[in-house]
Amino acid sequence: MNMQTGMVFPSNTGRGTKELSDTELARYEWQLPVPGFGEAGQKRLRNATVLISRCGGLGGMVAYELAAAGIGKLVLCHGGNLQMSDLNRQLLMTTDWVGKPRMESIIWRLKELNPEINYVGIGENISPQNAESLIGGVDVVVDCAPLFEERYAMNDACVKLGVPLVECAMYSTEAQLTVFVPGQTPCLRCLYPETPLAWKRRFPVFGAVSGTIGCMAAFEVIKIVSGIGEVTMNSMLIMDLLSMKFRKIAISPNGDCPVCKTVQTEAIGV
Amino acid sequence: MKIHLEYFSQVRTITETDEETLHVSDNSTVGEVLELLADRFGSAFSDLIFPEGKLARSILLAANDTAITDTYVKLAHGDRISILTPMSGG
Repeated sequence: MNMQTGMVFPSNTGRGTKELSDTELARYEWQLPVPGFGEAGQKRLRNATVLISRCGGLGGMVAYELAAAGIGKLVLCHGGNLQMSDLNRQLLMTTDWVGKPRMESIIWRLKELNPEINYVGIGENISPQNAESLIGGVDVVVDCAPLFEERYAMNDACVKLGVPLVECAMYSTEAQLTVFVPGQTPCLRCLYPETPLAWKRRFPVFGAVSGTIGCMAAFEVIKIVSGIGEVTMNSMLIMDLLSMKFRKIAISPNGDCPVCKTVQTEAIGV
Repeated sequence: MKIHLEYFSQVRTITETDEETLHVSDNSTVGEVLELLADRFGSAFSDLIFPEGKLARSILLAANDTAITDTYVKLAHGDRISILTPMSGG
């Protein structure tokens, strides 16, 4: 089995060779022996910066797993105050925090789990105005946002800046997962060129569904950064936890995609 | 001929089933099958798949587990068509 992604990102090129501390060796003792990972993989996680857009039901689980795994720097974007209706799935929140800023609870809960991580809390959501400045310098972005305006802003900035985007989404008992790598795979606009008119901000979902897909998205990040395994590229994993059906659909770039086309045009200097 | 259909997310809410087998004319296209489904499931399906009278660009179609954009593709006996809509986080 191919245990290497073959993907080269700043975080897995061996940058930063400082040895793991005794605390790190103890904290990550159960994952260090994973074949192909080892101390080199752990150092790559420590050297990586990952941005998670929205840390609710989906992104909260992504953040929790990445903090546990030892990603060095987590940039966390989520605006607004906690609502009671968030609590069926947003596991970084607590009931006594309803009405207060989500970001404070997110950072507090993550620090409880792993205080060694550098957490950067941004109390706002991704928008076309802030996307490029937030994503610049980041190794991987995880898209967990509910609004397509945010998702498109993130996608466009990732394509422009050459940053991989882990795309995860859910509805009811179903979920979708894929990784967009600029120049190697389609992007979000290749798949969904227009804002879906029928999509509603509020949709049915169980916390166990958002948690499941969040864990899977987090592991895609771990694979990308550490260089192990096979990343879900050029295919979309679709799953239904109601029937426990899991399948992959092959996807490919759209030659008419305005975002990919712009970057290709810039690259050849037109 | 027989084809297999799979419905996901918002589509499934309308069809009230996740999969079914359909008898269609030989050489039917994906587009013709979608129109057949629109007749069968009514305005909720049409509004989702054909807003403003044409196929929504945000609908993801797959034939035998490969995404397609061409609805003129002719189907063969036993083909599986999947109809997906975008989802998001939250």
